[in-house]
Amino acid sequence: MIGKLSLETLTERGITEEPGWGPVSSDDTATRSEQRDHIECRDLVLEYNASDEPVVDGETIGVPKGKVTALVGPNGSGKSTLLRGVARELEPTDGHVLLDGTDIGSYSRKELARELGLLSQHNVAPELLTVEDLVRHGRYPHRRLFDTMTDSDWQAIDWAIDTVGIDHLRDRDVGSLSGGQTQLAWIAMVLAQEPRAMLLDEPTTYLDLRHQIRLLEVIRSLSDDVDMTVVVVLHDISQAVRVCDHLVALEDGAVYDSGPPAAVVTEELMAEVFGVDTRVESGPDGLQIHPIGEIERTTGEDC
Amino acid sequence: MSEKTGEYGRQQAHADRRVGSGGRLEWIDGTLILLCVASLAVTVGAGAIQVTFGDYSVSITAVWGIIFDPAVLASPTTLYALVFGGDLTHLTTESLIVWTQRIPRVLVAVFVGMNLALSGAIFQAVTRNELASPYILGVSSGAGLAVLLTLAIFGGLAAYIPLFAALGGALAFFLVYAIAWNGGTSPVRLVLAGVIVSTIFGSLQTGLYFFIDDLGTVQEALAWTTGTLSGSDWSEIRLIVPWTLLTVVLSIAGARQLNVLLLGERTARSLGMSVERARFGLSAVAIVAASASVAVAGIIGFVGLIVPHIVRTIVGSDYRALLVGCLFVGPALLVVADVLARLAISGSQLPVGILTGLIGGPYFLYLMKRKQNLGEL
Repeated sequence: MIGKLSLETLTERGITEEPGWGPVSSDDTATRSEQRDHIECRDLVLEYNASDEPVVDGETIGVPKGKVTALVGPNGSGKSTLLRGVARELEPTDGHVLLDGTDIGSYSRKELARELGLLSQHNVAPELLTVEDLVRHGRYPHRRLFDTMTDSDWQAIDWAIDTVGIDHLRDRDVGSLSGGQTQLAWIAMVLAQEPRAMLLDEPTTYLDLRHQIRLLEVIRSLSDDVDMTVVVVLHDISQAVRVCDHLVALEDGAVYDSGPPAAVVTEELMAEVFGVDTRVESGPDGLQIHPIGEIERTTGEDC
Repeated sequence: MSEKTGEYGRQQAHADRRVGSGGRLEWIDGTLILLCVASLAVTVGAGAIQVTFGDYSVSITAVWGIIFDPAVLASPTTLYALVFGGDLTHLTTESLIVWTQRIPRVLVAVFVGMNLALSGAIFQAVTRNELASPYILGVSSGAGLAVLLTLAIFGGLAAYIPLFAALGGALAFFLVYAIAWNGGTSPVRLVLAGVIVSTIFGSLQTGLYFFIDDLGTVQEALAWTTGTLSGSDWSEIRLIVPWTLLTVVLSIAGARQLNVLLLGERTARSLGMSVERARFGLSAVAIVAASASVAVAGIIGFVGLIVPHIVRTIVGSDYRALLVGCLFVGPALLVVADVLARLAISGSQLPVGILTGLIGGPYFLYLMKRKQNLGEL
């Protein structure tokens, strides 16, 4: 696996992630101090069992502040695992996840929940819970044991529901919603946490086309309108291209390439990471990705 | 135009909520109040029947004369003697029967009903499993075994029965959880593990009977394992009240954690909860509640399963409302069941556990039939 990075573009963008290379030197950090990454993974090693191969092996990744960053890659490339590492669901075996330059391990769980919202892939809520009550649970990290709901709690809830645009569903039971509506309600719950960064794990999977597009628009507006940092794992690379400012392509637990989607998504990437012969064209509506067919993999290359 | 009314309705709802949001009690609504009042009425009604009728015939007017007898109610020393034990020789036989047998029995049923319902409700949230209850999860059988062991082998330690019951219940629960654990648990795995542990503990209980020589102890042991309220007196109330207060306060305080646990482990953690600690603490509360009721009334099945389920279908799944509902519906169910157990067959008394089993079994069946996705809460 050979990284397809051109060093010139790297320096231009001021982004320091390199696949599987050593730690970021202090010089690198200094040169990009004016554009500090909101979330940064440094030499991050993530594994589920100590005996297994690490799923993410020593990666250094930056997530720019206020932008939408998409993690893409084939199944098993470690994108969801990486997200779990960033959300502190999985303790790193080695390396660090930094939030505003501070290791997330030094935050308390509630402190972290006020900074970082997470939307899991599979969500379950009691059927008889109303949307408003679901969203209200997003205030959990802001309240102590016997605190009552304050005005600022209600403001956050109203804001979250408005931002996602599900005011009309407010009093409906979650069990009666469609898949897309349910997903929006969950996003509103995460928003009610008032996090400054939000992590979403394949939020468009299982949704119909209309709701997929709606969801991408909501994600886009979080960055554009409220300046939230968004990290989203996406299965579908055309969706990723459509929604993100910054794209990280993963292959076998390592960063293959990262940067603006127009620079990263090439026919070469599609072939090497996804194993798909693709025609990539930049048109008036952005990048167009036309998969043509599967590429026969030659096994010798991997070793 | 419809949009306008919608907007207006929204603002109206908004305004209503703002008014309510000032206090701690915004979640109390008409349905919950109605449920509580209705349950209270049932409890009082069934309690009145229980106090009025019985083998020792006291006329209805005489019974109510006794209950509102100023010689008891207005006399602190008599009340004190009743509750904490003492000299009651100045009371008539009728008065003694009503005040030391029938009334305590109703009160014990009330507290046991509360504890079992709370315990079931907590277990259902902690395991995210609609089929969970202290009975299904083996807590009752563990506590029962501990009680039986104490009676059969360590007779001298009978005073510590509640403590042993709690230990046995906790042990059984952890066993069930360990058996069901496979990188997480599922409702069906938990129920199956509960069946395994309950079967083993049940066999051990039956086996223990062979080591008991004294027939009286056998009968006492049998009463424990079937669950009965007969013979309840004020000493049982003294035993269960402190634990009830503790579990009620702790579970109501934990209602928000229970609500968040219902959203699943990942979400709960991402909201900043220490999931393992919360689960552990809340399970401990549920085990204490279940064990306290086992310690005074033996193993009464299904109350902890049915009551939270009934309440959930009426008030929804908000645990603040659900727990409060359980505190009223649990007593209502158990007092009614105990009236049936005591008075249905004249001349003999059934253990109340048999009654709740007869009600609970079919209800369990109904749950199975109705739910496509068995047990997922």
